Amino acid sequence: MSFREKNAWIASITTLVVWGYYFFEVWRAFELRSIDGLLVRFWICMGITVVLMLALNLLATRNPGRDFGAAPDEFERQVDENATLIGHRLRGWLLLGLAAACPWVSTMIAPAFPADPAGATAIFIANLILFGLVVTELVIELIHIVRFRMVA
Amino acid sequence: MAAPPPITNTIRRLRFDANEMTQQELADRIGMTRQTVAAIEQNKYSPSLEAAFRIAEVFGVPIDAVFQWKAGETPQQRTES
Repeated sequence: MSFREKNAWIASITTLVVWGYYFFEVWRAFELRSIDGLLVRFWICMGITVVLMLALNLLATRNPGRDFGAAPDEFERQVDENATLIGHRLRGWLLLGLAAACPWVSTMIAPAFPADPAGATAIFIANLILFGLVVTELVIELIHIVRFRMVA
Repeated sequence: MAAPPPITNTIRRLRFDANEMTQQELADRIGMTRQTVAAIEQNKYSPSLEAAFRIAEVFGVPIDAVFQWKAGETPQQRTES
């Protein structure tokens, strides 16, 4: 398995576990009608992601000096370009969908948080946008994995 | 899925003839990853001209001994085959 494929596996699994937990907590915050601590959880998840990715990538490489500095070869560049292109399109459509859904989301969020309807709506819409970005990154990494597995 | 390029190659046989050279050894000698060599060998990826010349250089053969153009085939024929 090449370093870049390991990289894609690590990014996918880390994203699924850490951000899966975070968005589960966002959903729970909505159900419990309490958004306290969401921002703290966000920063904790961000920190865990960075630490996990760095540590796992260091563990996964046999030769850190060579692997971390190495430029992708032409096949890896092609895989990356295809995945990024699909990711860009998906991101565009997801953000467009989210923008279209904003009025519906605000009619759902605002009545659930009477103390601060505008603030809560903003927080949940920001989290929806974050969800779209995380899903896009996950899809990009999964495309990498599929393309690399096809020629393994 | 895109149709495979109308190019065949003899890399597998050339590696066998070169003392059972592994894909990793070939990859190291042309500055690529083993997966890239596997993709080229399985005809799932068409290498750049530079990579093609590097592969031929490793085996000490002309480039047309490594890669052959399937002349006369249309993209439709290729998809059907």
